Amino acid sequence: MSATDLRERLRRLLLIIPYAVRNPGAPLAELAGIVSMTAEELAEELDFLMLVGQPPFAPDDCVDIRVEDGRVYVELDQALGKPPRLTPLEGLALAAAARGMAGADEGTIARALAKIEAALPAPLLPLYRDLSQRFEVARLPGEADMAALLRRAIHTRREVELEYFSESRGEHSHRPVLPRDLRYAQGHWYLSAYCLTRKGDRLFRVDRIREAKLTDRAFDRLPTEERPPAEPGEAPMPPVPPEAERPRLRLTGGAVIRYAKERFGAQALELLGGDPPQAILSLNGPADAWTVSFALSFGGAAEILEPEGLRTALRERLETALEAYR
Amino acid sequence: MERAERLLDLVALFLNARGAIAWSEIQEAFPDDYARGSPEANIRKFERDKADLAELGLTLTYVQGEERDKDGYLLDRSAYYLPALTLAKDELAVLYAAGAAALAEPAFPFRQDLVHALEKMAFAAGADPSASRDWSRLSAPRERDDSTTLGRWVSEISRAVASRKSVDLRYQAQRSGEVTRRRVDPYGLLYRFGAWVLVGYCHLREDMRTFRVDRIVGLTVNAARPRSTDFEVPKDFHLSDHAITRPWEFHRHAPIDVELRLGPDLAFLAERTFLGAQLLGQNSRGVRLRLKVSDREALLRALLPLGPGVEVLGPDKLRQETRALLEKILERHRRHARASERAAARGSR
Repeated sequence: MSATDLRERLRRLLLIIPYAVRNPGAPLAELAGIVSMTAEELAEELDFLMLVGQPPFAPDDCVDIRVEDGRVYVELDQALGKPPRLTPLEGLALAAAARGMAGADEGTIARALAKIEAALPAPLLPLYRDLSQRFEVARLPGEADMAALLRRAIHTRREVELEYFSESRGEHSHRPVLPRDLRYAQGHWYLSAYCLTRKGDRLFRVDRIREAKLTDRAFDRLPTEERPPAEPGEAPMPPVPPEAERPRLRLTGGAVIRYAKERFGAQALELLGGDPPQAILSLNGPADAWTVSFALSFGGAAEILEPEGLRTALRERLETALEAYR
Repeated sequence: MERAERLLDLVALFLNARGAIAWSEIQEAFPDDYARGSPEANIRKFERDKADLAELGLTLTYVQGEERDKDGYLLDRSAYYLPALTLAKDELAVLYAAGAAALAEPAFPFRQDLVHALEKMAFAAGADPSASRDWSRLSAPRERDDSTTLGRWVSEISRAVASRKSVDLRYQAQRSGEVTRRRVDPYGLLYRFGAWVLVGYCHLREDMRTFRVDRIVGLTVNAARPRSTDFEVPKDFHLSDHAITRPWEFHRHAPIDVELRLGPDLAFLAERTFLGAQLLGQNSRGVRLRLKVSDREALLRALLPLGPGVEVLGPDKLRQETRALLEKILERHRRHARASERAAARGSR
């Protein structure tokens, strides 16, 4: 057993007894669920715990935890009936997550973390504080208020009216939505919601929401989630189009080719070689306005090859943009 | 005796003890474990166990007894047990949500510790067993750190940062693709804009450097003397000084001041994407901003997808570069696509 596995096992064991003490007669299966084990695995661990105790290991010196009619009872806990404090690393992980990913107002996070800090062993507080300064999970400050409002809407199940800027369409739209949840991916927060205008699930990049208004209109339940939307503000990913109809981009340069390989996989790329190297990227989705934005995000390193309609759309966008420079 | 059993026995022994326990008493209690080998081997074995106990949150201190008290190892019981946590409902919700978001990431420092922290928190908050798992239902947590390379690197770097051990990297430069080997003293780990960044002292360059973790192709933690530290973090080190904030703030060249105009539709981005930039003016044509840029290409890559609503006003050189780039992309898309593809195919031969 590796050192990590041993630690994991011990930590779990030190939590099993407290749960069993607090819930006398809890069904074995329920307790197993709490500690992420199968009932069989837990039964084995309970047998093991019967061996644990303090020297000289007379019967009264050992843990007495037994299963009767599928229910768990603790007769003797040998002072192991309460869990240990958070370790500095546990506190650290929780604090890093809360600071970077909570999407709530700073005050609530600060209050919660102060209480967590109080649950750390006092002698280890300096270590915790030192380590806290060496890990940082950051988010955009401007996103915090917006995320707090959206989270409130999600918890209270209320409709939200968004003023949303779609990058690919280059326009704002008014979107009443039923919020589902907030997701963090590729460095951005997204609101997953059922859009009442488009009648379907959409992802909205939180930093592209100009305004959000929490309405009084409560909803009971959301329509079942469709397949996850492909890209922000766009429709859920439709069935993959036949190969001949997929957008194809020509990429130039080793760095962008490596990036595309990481994001879309080697099978999406046809390497052409050359110096600088070139590759054809076949996208797995429909040809739409998003593809134009995506191609432009490579600077000059991507060219749309197909379909012709997207080349036209890209030209039109660039021609409009160039007017400001003439 | 099985190691897991011995460690739990030690926990029970110290939690039930009335005072310090002498080393001789510990040896007597575990004769097969601590009394069979040489005195040095015995104490080394106990020290290893003690270190494992510390990782579980059980810290033993060695005390010199006064008068009739004996020398020995002591556990402060009140420092061991988890106290009740009086977390308000919204505070608990914030921590659960944050935990769920972190566990859904492909990588997170000390993610296994995070799982345990959430479980202990649920317990101490008096949540009933079923509620304690709510965080895991909020999203699909990944099974383990090491299921992805990124997860493995973040996990190993986190431990190296915490225990101050040097790491040997094989690192791939983004532009050239060239792989270099270097020894790095990891001072800190950052997560910004979707990327994990290791900040540390690079022995190859003999200077502070930042490394994108997703560009690391190989990593080993210095295995020599695992229980001692390899370096000290300088007192004046502040992680935030090295925080790479925006893609255009990577140090590719000396910083320049760039002026942008965001049209009325995009003006709200001054408070989002460009937060922190200096606001120069606002009128019916939108807002004018000034920002520090040290990677102009990255800035243009970020601006192009925003469409015609954004304009580079200055410096004039960058304005001309922007115009040239727009024209270059436009020109390329004016050619017939088929001809363009044939040219690409020829180029590859």
